[in-house]
Amino acid sequence: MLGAVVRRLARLLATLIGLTVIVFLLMNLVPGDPARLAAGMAASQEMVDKMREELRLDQPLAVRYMHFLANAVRGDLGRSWVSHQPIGREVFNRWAATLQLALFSTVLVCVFGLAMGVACAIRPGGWLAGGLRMLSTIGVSVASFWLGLVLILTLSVRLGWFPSIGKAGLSSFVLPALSVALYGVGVTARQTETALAEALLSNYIRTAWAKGLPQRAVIFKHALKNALIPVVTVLGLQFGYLMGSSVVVEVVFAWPGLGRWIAEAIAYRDLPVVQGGLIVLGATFVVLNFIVDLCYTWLDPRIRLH
Amino acid sequence: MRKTGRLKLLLGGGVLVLYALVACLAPLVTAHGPYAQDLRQALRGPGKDHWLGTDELGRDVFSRVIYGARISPAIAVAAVAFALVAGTAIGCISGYFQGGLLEWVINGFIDLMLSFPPILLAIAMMAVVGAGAVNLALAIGLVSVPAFGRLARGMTLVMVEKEFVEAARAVGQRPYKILVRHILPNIAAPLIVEASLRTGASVLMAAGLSFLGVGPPPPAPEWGSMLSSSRAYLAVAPYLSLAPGLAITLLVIGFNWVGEGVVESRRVPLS
Repeated sequence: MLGAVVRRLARLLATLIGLTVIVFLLMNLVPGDPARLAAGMAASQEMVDKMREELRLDQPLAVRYMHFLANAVRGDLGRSWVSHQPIGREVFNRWAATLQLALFSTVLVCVFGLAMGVACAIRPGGWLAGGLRMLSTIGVSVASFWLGLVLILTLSVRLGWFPSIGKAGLSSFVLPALSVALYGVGVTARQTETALAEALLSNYIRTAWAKGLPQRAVIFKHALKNALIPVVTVLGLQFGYLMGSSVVVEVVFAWPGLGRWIAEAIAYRDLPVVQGGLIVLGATFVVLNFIVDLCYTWLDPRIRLH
Repeated sequence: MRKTGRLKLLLGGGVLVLYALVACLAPLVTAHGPYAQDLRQALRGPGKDHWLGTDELGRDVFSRVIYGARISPAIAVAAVAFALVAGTAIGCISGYFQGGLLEWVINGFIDLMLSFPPILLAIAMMAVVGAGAVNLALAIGLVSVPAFGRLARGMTLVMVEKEFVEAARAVGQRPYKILVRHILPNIAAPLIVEASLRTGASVLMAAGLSFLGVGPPPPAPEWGSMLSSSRAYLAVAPYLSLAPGLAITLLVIGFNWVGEGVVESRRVPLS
């Protein structure tokens, strides 16, 4: 058991390092002279040369990577080529904003996704189930940024119930979180319905019926608990996915998150921000998947006892 | 279950055929071109002359939405076609030639790519290669390769144990022939289903990336970038934000229904 955890941790570390390598390589493949881009178009040749030294551009790639990694683990992700300020603190603040949005969205995904899935599985033939299934299909087919625009149009501009942009107070979370969450709701609802419907057909449930247990106990205490195992995996993966895919929604709602900062930085060719942001978001995704993996192993006794 | 499956397949297929027809027959369906500007008619609402109104440069929104059907689906289909071929090849090779440096490298690479949120990886690639339709298709395709690779590999691993493969090997057939003649036809169906579902997701990704500005540059009538420009006029011209989004949604529903329809119509009903 301990050996498995250690092996998994080693794999996690390898994946994280691989992630930084890929991002670092990609950023160094961007066309253009980094020294010139960092110093600015108006800079003199002297300043460009000084920047070249500062960025260690004459040293081999591997050496630059080592310096980058050594700095990164200490929280130093370099300086923005636009503001010339260190970006470490700002990356953290923006990452926190994205994380909060992802958390809020995940709560929505859990509540609505599970509720919809259970409702469909309990009464599969009814019109409610049909309607909810259609809603799930629409949920996974709608572009999240378009949904954001529609929500702003209807609930913010027309009705004034929620703020259109920015992050200020709980009500500003609602529209962005709904936009991001709808896809996850659709996926979770389907997953829950399938898992629960299958669980309800198994032998141990039939035994519970035969024993005369009340319907509520059978569904919630027995079937749902076991059906939740694959669902929890999906939910955990959704949380990581939400962090990455919130980029477009952050742009729509001018949310001060990391995804939007990366998107802006690409337009400005501010590579240190793109690099730092991608690594932080990617690493969050990897670590989240790792935790989900551990939980999944812990939750499913069949795996544990192997 | 099978009935709804067949219905989904039919409806979804119908939607896709509709989009294909519209894309091909665009000049016949639209009265104006997608690029024709008329600044005196800018930002007018839906009316007789312009069924869906005009945008900020006086261009007919209906025409631009229709012509957009030539762009986003093409990018998505190209991306998935690439991912299907490349991913299947990589997955089959990895699954067939087990236990070697090649398999270890391929698996490690697939796992690494899967550990990135797809849209971020695509954004990173676009930052390197620059904007444009072809680059977008390439980036989305690359991002989708691991999913097909994993699926193909999993199924190849199962197929390799089967007796007819063993028999083929015993007779001395070359690995390439075995893969193509025996294994490939048996693993094709789930791969095709995954391709259909992926194409839907790729349409969403292409629209999203175009929305962020890394897709086909203006004045191309790409739905995502149309939605991006509509943001500035949300209060005065809300209709600009509706049509392209609906076009995207319906197309993705079409692809999803085809994929799900195939799965559901084949499932053996439980007694």
